[in-house]
Amino acid sequence: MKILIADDSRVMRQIVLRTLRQAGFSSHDFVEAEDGLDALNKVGSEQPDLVLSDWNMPNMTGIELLRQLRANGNAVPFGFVTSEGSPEMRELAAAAGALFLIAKPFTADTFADALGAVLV
Amino acid sequence: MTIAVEPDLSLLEAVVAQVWTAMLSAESTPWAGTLPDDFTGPGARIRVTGDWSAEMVLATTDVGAHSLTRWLLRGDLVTGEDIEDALGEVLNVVAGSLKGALGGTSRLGLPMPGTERLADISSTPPHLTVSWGGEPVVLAVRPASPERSTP
Repeated sequence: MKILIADDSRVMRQIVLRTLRQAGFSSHDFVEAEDGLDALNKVGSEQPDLVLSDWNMPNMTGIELLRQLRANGNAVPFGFVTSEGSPEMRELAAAAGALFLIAKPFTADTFADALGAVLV
Repeated sequence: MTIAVEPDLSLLEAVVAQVWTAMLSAESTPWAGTLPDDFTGPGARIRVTGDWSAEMVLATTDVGAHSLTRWLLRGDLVTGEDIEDALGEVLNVVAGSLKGALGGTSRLGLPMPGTERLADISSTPPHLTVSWGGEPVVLAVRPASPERSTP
């Protein structure tokens, strides 16, 4: 399966990648995007099975990305990996169609729990 | 829910300890040295707006910045852009955790790289200096100021 990781921080993309591998998802293919607009384009070109997106990004935020995907009729499974972990943000994420929101800082167990139900 | 609109030093210490453990696999031990009054170093700022409005700042030494970035990227060769990214992301996670602990409705801006002066960082509490690889990392919360807005 293919997972798209969207975060404007290359450091955080690397941390997410390492954590995914630690959580047991090393057999999947990974694609990186550096902001929401890049991710939107790569969802079209790469056809990922799951999008993991930061919230605050330049050019297009994560929530804008998710809303645009859904407006385009794209139902790709989507989860947030973000420092915005408040109840308000979780409600916004769920209302827009996100399956989960992983708050930073996170652990491999957190990823295993959140993604385990999605990547079967 | 009671909203604490201003973080104090104990909350900042608790949040930094959590982030150091989860993100840096280290304990946030207080840095035992003394920084010169004219200390300046690479760092980052991030603004929070909403029920809690403030600016958070992180600064460290050149050695600390390089070491932290190499560790986060698990590599030996890092660029200036990597360093700005790494410091900004550590600060982003600290600020997000602090915001979450306070409750209420607040939003994070994007972290901005910069050079920070100790006199500016430590001008208002809360602030603390913890160790990373034997180097000081200063973290502080200060009032949001128009003069410090994003260029």
